[in-house]
Amino acid sequence: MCRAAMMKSVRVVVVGAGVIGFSTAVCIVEALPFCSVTLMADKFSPDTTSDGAAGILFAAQFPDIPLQRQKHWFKDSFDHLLAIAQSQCAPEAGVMLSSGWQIFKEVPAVKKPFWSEFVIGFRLMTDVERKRFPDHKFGQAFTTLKCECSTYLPWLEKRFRKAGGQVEQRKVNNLQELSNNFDIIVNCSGLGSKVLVGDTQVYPVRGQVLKVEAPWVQHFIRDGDGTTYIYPGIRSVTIGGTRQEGDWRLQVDDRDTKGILERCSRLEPSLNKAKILNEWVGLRPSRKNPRVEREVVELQGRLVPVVHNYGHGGWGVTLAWGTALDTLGLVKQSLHEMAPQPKL
Amino acid sequence: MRVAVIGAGVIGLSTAQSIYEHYHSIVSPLTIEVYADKFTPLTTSDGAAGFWQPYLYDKGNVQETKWNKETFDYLLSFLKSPESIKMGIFLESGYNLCSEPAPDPSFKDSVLGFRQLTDRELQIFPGYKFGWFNTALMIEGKTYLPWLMDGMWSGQLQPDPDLKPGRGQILKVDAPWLKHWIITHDFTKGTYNSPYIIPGYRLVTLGGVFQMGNWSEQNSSVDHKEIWEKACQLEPSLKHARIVDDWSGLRPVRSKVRLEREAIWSGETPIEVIHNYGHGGFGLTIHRGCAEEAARLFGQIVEQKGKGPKARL
Repeated sequence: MCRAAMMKSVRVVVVGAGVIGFSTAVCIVEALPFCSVTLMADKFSPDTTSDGAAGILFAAQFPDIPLQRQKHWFKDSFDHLLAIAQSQCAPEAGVMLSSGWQIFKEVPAVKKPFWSEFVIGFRLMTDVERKRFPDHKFGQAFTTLKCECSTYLPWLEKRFRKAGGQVEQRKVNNLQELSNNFDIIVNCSGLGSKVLVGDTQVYPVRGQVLKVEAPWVQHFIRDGDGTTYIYPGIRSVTIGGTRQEGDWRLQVDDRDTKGILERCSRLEPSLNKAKILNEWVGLRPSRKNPRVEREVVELQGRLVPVVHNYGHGGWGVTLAWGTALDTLGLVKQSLHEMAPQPKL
Repeated sequence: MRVAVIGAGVIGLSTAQSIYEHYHSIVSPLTIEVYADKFTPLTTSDGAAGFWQPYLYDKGNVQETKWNKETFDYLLSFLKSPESIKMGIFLESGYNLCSEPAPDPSFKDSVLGFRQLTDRELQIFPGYKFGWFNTALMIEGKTYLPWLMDGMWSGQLQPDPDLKPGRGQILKVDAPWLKHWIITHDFTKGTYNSPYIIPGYRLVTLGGVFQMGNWSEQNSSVDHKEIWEKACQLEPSLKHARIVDDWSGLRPVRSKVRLEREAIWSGETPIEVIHNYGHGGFGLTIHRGCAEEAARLFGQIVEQKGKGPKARL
């Protein structure tokens, strides 16, 4: 029995339709044409966590993942989106280049973070540039990418369907529900993993943002503490934010609105004149480290490979493609283990 | 004193403003009247993309480099106030691209964060081997000119063979995902005869036409096609941009800016004239420095006529 014929019968399901889910699903369906791939989720764009995110590529450093692997995640994602930004597809995919400054009130311990070699033109700010931010003593200037999921996710979905992927709207309550119809489960359920796979390490970090009309703002400005930022996008500027750990509230909080406007206007006074278009709250699906690994789970008497790709916190857009590629590698490993021994 | 300012582009209005700022409390009464056949939004300044950048090299005209820097610093100082939006000014970064290495431009110390392009950046622009990145200013004539006119009294000119039109044509497109200006330079073709892309407040300006001696203010479909094709080559994402407008204007080109006094005799008393023209494609870029110099020349006239503060003793 040839490998191709065997693989034709492998049914893969990807749970989750955020940026992680769709990136992973596209990677799998494009690389493994002999698998049938279904993406299943309760919520789709524009109702996912990814939709509200500004989508600017930055990274944090996770404590327990080898640095080489984190570098790959960032670089693969950046290069993938850069290629899109330079192509005709850029506006349809919602991807653009963005230059700006990350500023710090106190000089940070690490002046050149690990991702500085992967963004474009990274350098320290000159004294003249820093003068615009009198409260801040140090800054970095560079060009990175912005990927707007409310546009990117529909574009990925088109790409997924074109490659033969199936999309199903359905809330998955437990993995047992899937084991009858699928041979490999890929879990990209973000915060949902808390219930879906019982991961107690997953917790929300609440973030509130405003979208304002300020087309004269052409640069991003981010305070190194990660709580105050201004990210110009294609049709609006996202300003924020908040980082409230363990906070599950999805309603807009007026005190946060006031705080965001104050902090952002201090960095960019012209924002005082900006019209507020809307407000949004999202729960970053946070974890000490993202979980990108595979296991074999017994479900309804069968041993089913489950590959996890969740817990990216506020770095989902930044790490989506890189972790999706990693996940694809883990799916391939699972397939390899599933292959029956040739019968002579 | 009665002052007539002829011309209501950025040079005329800013000169009027500088004279007013420096002398309205010294010379009393001081009437300044602006005369022109075209006012905003119909002037050349209105059609320009509104990007602060001098020509790459000043060819020894160091005074012009000084005035350019003065203008940049002046505009930059407004950025920390919300007034900047009423003025139509904002920061924008971008790329100057050359097909071969070139000496540093005259404005490298005026702009923010000036540096050479990295190899990675050059990969984004195939065909270009060298260039610079910096943060500069946008100053949109359609917003800035009305701001200058606020408070101005408005009313309802000398052949100079050195003054010639440098015809330009631009397209305005809707491409809000572009946040960087891109200016290419072809030293064989001359300034602004090479494609450029300049995102503005609402629309992106595409251009790259500089035709010396062409007086036509009509849009040319040949130029339109050339501009559009070259811009799409430079920035592929433009393929999906909607073209909103075409415009042509005549840059007032001269070998160097004429900024000096002249006395024109009409009968027994001379009419004092201050010339401030010939700013080519860098009027918005240099306007403040020149306006301040014109105000200084005005001050000389005030002194000579005994109209200054000493006269009131």
